[in-house]
Amino acid sequence: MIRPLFIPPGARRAAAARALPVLALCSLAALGCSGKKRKAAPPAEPPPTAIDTLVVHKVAADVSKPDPAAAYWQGLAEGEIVMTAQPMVAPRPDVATTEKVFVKAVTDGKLAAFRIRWRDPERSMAGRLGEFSDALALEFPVKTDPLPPVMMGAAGAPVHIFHWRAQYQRDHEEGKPTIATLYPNASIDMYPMEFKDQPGAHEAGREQFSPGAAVGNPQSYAKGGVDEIIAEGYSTSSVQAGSEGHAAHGDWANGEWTLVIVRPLATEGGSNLAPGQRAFIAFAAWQGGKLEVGSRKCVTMAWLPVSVQ
Amino acid sequence: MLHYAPVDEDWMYPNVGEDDCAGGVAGGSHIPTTPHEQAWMFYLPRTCAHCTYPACLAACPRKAIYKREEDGIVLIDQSRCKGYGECVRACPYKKSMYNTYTRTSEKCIGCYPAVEQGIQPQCVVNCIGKIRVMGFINPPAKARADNPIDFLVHKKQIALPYYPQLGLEPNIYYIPPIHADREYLHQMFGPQVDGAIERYRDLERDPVAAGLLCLMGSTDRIMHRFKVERGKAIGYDDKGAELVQVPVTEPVIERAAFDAKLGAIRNNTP
Repeated sequence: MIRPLFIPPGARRAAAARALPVLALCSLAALGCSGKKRKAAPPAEPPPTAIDTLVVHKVAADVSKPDPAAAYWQGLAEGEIVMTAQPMVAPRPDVATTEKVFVKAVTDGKLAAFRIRWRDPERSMAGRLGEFSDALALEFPVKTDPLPPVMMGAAGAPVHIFHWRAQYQRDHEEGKPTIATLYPNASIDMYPMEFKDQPGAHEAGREQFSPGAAVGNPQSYAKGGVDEIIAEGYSTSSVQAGSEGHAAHGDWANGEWTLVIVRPLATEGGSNLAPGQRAFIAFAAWQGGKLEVGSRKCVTMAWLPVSVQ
Repeated sequence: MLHYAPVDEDWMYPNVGEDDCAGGVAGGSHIPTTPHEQAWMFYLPRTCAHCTYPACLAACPRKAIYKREEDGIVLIDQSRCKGYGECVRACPYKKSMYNTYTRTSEKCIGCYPAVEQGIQPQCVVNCIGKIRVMGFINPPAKARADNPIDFLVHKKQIALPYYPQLGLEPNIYYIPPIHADREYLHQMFGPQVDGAIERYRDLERDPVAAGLLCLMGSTDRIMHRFKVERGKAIGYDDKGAELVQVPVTEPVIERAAFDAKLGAIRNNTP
């Protein structure tokens, strides 16, 4: 059983509201000081470099709130990770749509936060038919000696995955879209759903037509941002119950996602990270706009060692 | 259709154009006789064919689709499907469909809860034309003449799978329309369609076949055997118990057009 990290649903919004007045003060100060509209130049970031170990830097800050713009990311070395089109299982993508991801990692002693940045020309959050979501997954071995196969593990050698989807993030921030949201003009003559010409429709009536939800498929419920998954080989991934509260937040701007996924260092039954302890990570990315989903994805081809400070 | 991923518009109007004229008709023309050389159309109910070699099953990277050993029904496991849509793409008949609300792909379930009770699927039971029958087919070498499906498919060879060239062995067999364009029928049902139509035209001289057609739509139970004797067709269940008995030729009763007792005009509506 995995012990999930729970972030109260209101926490992120409250934090966002607090951030606003601070921003306003900053801009006033900038005007007052120079009398000239001039942005302070951000501190120079070291360029990303190829790495053979991902260092999880110890920071004296609470990292529980997934914030891609948090101060503790500044100045940290960013690792450049090379990806390739998933080569093992059909259906495979034809080309590597995500060639690289850039990663930073921090820990506050209890939680580890990973900031991943990658190019994606369009922001895709799925919803309507034929639309797929941008997504990113972090994979950790449950046991490190011997290491499980990097691609989804194997029977008896599980891997532990934190799978973020832009679609799940939208569920968390705006609620799970209904048919009426996805198809405002949808109309149908018999099912008691929420269509515009069914004023007497109710939620229970609609759920009657959701077999996925009826059999408890996590896919059919609103998401919190990240699915926590255990897999023991291809086709075996299963979403762990109670992982809806996991923290992740991604921002898309200028053809690029910057995403933070927060996970506990220690889990029960899943992967563990600790200072001085052998640990590894692997990555996968999906570009929804290129119809990537499931095994149509880009992946890292080997485990990358992780060193927790 | 192979590996075509349908878009919204495809599902919005799945039958658009199907009742429309596909070609030009000269002004003042009419349809003088059958066969309809000038104009033809037919309806084809296309539910999931629960293929022997299902493309949807092979395409699912999560192995969430399975074919049941006991009755051959192909199902998407709603607890494992993650809505990747690979089955939607792979099925050339476009029978699985992504549900944007449940975020899983869904398809015809072959009314398996009914089939488990020995009852035919709803599409068969509710067919007002009584032109459907559901049962279990045997491989050609083990075909039994008293099995309704073996009889139609293997013995009489009047029912054919559609688009057999795709190689999935779909398990819905159609008695092809006799008035439609042959070139089109060849494409849809394969080269055996000519023979099937010929044998179908000859069916009225075969009382056993006529009897079986009368049994279709006469019981909601699955018929495992049938027999025709002394002008009656009889259907049996898997244990040999009689399910239904129907006359091969309905008695003809002539009545006056106006019913004086009820003060009503009789309509010859079946």
